[in-house]
Amino acid sequence: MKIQSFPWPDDGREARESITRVRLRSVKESFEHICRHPLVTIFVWLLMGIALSLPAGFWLVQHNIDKVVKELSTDTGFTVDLRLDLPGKEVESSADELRRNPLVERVDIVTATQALEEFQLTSDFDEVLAALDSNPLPASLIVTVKKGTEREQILSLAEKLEEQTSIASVEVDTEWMVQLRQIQQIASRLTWILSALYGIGVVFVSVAAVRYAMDSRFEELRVISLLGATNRSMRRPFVYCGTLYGFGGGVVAMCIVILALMAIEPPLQELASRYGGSVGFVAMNYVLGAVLVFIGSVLGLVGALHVTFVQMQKNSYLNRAR
Amino acid sequence: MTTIELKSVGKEFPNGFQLFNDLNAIFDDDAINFVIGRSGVGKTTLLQIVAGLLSPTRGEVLVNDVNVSDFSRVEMLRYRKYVGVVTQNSSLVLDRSVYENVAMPLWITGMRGSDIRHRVEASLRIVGMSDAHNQMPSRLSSGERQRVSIARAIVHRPKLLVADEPTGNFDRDLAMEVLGLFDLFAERDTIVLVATHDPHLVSETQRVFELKGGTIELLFGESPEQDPVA
Ligand SMILES: Nc1ncnc2c1ncn2[C@@H]1O[C@H](COP(=O)(O)OP(=O)(O)OP(=O)(O)O)[C@@H](O)[C@H]1O
Ligand SMILES: [Mg+2]
Repeated sequence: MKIQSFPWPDDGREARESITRVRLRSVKESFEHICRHPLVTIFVWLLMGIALSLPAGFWLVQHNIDKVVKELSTDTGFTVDLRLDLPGKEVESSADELRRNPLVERVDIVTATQALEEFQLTSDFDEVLAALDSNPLPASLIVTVKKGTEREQILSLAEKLEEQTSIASVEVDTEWMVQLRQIQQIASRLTWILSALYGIGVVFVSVAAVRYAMDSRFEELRVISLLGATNRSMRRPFVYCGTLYGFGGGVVAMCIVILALMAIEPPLQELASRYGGSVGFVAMNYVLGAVLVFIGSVLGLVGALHVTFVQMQKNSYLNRAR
Repeated sequence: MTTIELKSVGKEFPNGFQLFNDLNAIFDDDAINFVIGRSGVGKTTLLQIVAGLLSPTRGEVLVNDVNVSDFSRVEMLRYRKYVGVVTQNSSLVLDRSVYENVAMPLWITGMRGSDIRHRVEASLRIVGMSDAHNQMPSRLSSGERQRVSIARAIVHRPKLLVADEPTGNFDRDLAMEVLGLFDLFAERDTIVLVATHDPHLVSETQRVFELKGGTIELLFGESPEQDPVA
């Protein structure tokens, strides 16, 4: 290693310096900037807040659909419709065979007659049915799987069963559950796409706002670069500034979501009570609020890091001094 | 005691323009070192090289026999803390008060607030601008502004003071008054380099270097080399 030689002996000046104070000063400067341009700041916060609240809202919707799906689909079993003309003995043996499967907890048999009786009780088609001379309904097996069985396992078991000749069809979900799952998937993908797009939007807002901040302090940057400030210390207040913009945007987004939820909650509860009791909807909470503010800050930071880097490269403040 | 020696200093800009190729000179701190030369010969560039704001593409800048031109980034940052710069056209930040402008070099290093106040007041006193603390630079005369930028250049007690056209287009009296301030520093162990395009500012009694056609020559005054040190 090279021995550090320096033109002058240290006269104690370096002991008086502190990087912490430089950082604190940068924090102060970033606050000063956002206070000095209140309109810009409010505009940026609103823009970022709106951009963040949309994916947040979508996320809430998606999360609630997930919850409903989970509550309604207990994933405890499935129904096996046997072939229409299957004799009673073979219904029994199919049931026994299923009982031997390690995944299966129990199998209840609904005979064709029972199915018909039930159907007659719940529908208005008695006359139509009475007109038929044979029972149009098949016998079926209601299979309950062991606790903790994965949905995937249930699905593959159902698939295997469907291949058996004695089995007409296997119904894992009712029709409307299938639809709900599809909606769930769409909502989930939409949430991701929206989050990505609006996230990029927030970064752009940060880039534009920080760039404006740097341009408005161009003279000062030029001067302090001549006075020996490092690129890093010149960037720092603006990086903090971008982070503050993102932070504020996150707070605004949180407020927007809370207000929106307050507006839709009464009708939502009414709807829920109509379907028997209140559904425990996932609303805004501390964790979600904190996550929003955090994500906002990170996006603001990313934009600021990028634009300060680019601006420092492009401007090379020192050489523009002439 | 500080000396600065240029050894075959050359500067070529990234665009390929070669400004000078072989500058040799010795500056020392018993009087102001003037660098004169026509506009565009490279006075600003030379001063920025000496101040560590630009690096030469060739040669050595020896400050007290230490070659600062191959300093690492960290060493260079340390070096700059010992250097005061008065820029061409007194570059004060117009939306900062006089006090804030002078405090800037100390902000950069992270000095304690009370020390900063102390130093800024002392510097403003030296240049005779004690009453202007809270004024905005835009309301000062150009002479006053230049004095503020000198206060800023000395606020961190530099060992090397570099002034680029500090007298701008001042009338002779004002220019002499400003140069008088630099004399004060030269007397106090600080090595002072002043660049000017105005040959009328200097006289044969001073140490004057002329930058011309890519070379630098001692025009008036004794060369420290030949100066027998007692
Ligand atoms: N970054 C750069 N890239 C290319 N050329 C440059 C650069 N900086 C300076 N120059 C050129 O170098 C030459 C010297 O510039 P410099 O500013 O050092 O001159 P100067 O002697 O200070 O002039 P003045 O008296 O007008 O201030 C000029 O011709 C200028 O165009
Ligand atoms: Mg110049």
